[in-house]
Amino acid sequence: MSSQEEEALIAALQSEKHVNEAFKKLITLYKERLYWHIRYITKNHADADDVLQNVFIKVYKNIKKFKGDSKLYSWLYRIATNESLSFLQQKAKKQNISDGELQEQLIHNLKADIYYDGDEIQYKLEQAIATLPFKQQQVFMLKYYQELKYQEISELLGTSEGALKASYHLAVKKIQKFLKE
Amino acid sequence: MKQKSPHTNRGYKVPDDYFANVESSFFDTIKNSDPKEHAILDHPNPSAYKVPDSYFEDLEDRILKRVPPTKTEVIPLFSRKKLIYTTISIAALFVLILSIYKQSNTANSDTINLIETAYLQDYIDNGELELSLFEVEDILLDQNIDISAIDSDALQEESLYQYLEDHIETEYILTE
Repeated sequence: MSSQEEEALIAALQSEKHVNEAFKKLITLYKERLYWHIRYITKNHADADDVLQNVFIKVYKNIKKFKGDSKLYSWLYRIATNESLSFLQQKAKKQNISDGELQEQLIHNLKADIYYDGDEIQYKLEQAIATLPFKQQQVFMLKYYQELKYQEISELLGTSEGALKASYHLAVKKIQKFLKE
Repeated sequence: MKQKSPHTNRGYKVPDDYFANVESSFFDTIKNSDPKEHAILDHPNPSAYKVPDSYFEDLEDRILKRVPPTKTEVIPLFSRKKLIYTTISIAALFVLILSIYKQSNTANSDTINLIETAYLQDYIDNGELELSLFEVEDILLDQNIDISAIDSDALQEESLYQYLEDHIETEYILTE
């Protein structure tokens, strides 16, 4: 989407008259990218669906606060990341377990998940990713799963390309080490 | 002339094309090491996550159903200022009515008291009451009025002696 088209969409979203029509267009444009971003964090489909819907509702309620300082998708991505993390924190709190324990549980549940058909290698990769700090997980998933360029990741995370490369390199080294063990 | 990196001026160096090869080094390392690790790269789609069939097709409608309705501006029938004045006026009116009612109630009870103690006594003393004492008693009982509350001091002493002399035998009183 060109910057002009994005500006037009934002204007429509912030208008009283065309908001619903524009909002539907926004969902169509970004639903899949946001879904996969959320899914890689929450791991299971039902949770990802809940979080995704909450993200769009939050966007709808707060669209007038968007000043256009960043790209629209970067703003959506940050909301989705925050929503996903708070969702997992609440989930851990409800079960009275730590974030690390919840991660282990989520990975373990993948084995019985009908919407996950990874083989042994893929499952081991999930385990390896879960051992990384969250920032490294994000960089790795954006690069490896979503195949984004460093420039795109840089826009999303507000981090320099150099720092992202270093982060990715560290993530890769840790995953390699985990897989060899 | 090769441009010097700003990071090399403190003596630190990195291998040539290090940053350019960070991505591929990961895959190369895995390919050259373990066949199991190698397998990760052979997956055409690295993600094993799936979604239900047609999940994305009706997502817009499901989300739009949850969107809160657009707020419509409500024009109040009464302005806030007007409402406050009205409330104060009603309260003042209520207080006024209550005080008048209380005052009138007090006046009525005073009048009744005055009738009981003065006018009614004269009225009865002058023999203008055509009811016997038993009839009065019946009326009082019908109205659930406590007879003991009747002020006995209001009776004249002479009348009382006269009543006792006419109705009660003196001997009986003396023996008791």
